Amino acid sequence: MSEKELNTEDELNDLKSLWKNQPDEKSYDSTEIFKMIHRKSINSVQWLFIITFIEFLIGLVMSLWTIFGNNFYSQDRIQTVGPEVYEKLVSLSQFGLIGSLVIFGITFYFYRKISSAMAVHDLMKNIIKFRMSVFAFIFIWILGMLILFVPLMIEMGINTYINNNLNQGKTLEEVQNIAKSVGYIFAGITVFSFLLFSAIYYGIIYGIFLRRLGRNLKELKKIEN
Amino acid sequence: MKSKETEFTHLIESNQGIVHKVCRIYTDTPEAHEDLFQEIVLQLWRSFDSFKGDSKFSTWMYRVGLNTAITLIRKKNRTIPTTSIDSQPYFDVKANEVDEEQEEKLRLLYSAIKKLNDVERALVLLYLEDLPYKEIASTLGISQVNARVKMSRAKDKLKELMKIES
Repeated sequence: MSEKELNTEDELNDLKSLWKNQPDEKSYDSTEIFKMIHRKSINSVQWLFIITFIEFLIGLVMSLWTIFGNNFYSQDRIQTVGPEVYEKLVSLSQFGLIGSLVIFGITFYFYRKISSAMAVHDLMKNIIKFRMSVFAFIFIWILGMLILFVPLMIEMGINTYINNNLNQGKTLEEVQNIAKSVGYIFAGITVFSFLLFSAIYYGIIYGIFLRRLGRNLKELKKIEN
Repeated sequence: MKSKETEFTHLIESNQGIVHKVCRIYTDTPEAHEDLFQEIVLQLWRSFDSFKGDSKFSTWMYRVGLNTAITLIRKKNRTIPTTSIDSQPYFDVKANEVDEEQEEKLRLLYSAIKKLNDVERALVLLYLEDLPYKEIASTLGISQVNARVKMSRAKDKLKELMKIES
């Protein structure tokens, strides 16, 4: 095909007829198509939603367990960590429960808005909004755990140490001094373990799916520019 | 087979050329083509209830097909955007059905299309299928003016690529 030939709109129109008259390759009959519609397939959006939902359920059970802990925890254990610390834990769990419900509600809303029958641009936008809500879910979850629970962990460590070591021949001052260090070590180990777990878990599981969905952002920019 | 399934499978059977065309421009191997074909059919089935007949069945098929290929079932390296000039499309055009010159043109066309980005491929596909701008704009979710501007750029790029290929 020469350069001259391709310079006119007519040539592009010729390509249209060439395109329309191209031979069909493999043709599927209705039985094969029937089999196709009954196979199972989960895409990245669905995987991400399933993982988020399971996380939400685990968080929900843990929060409810703590909130209604009076019925489950032994009074000895509550006394060991300190009743006031336990009260704070219940309040934080209530706060966490409401927060998780709101964020999960938003995530679910965007998930429901994703349909392969919508316009390409709108689908990309909704996938990106869904991706953002999952990001928010992860970010708030990690930040919430660190900001809200770390001071509590310190207190919990201190109280546990004091209650286990008082009346062991040491003075209250001695026990309190060591307890403070134990509290910080306890919180440090918790933070380290939590961050390590988050990095591995979110890095691997979410990273794969979020990165895959992130490619939509590039395509969206190509449509909008 | 239930009546809804029967209706759907027959509709797909008679319109499967649309799905094959989407697969051809977004895949590089027969295996990837088959895989994407099955995914598109599955997405079409899952969205079948949303088809209210406001648009043509074929237009709705393009929309779901493109969404599946570009956004939902995006797999790494399904297509290689920087296909070498020497590479040939994987499908085999039968020589007795299309003459050699036509066959060569078709190969060049596919080769050039596969060098475009995903959105440009979608635009070129809809152009070659002769869809009006109104439907192209609605399928892609952009304004008609935007569709015309993008189409003009995509066509220029396609022409350039075909020059290079030939």
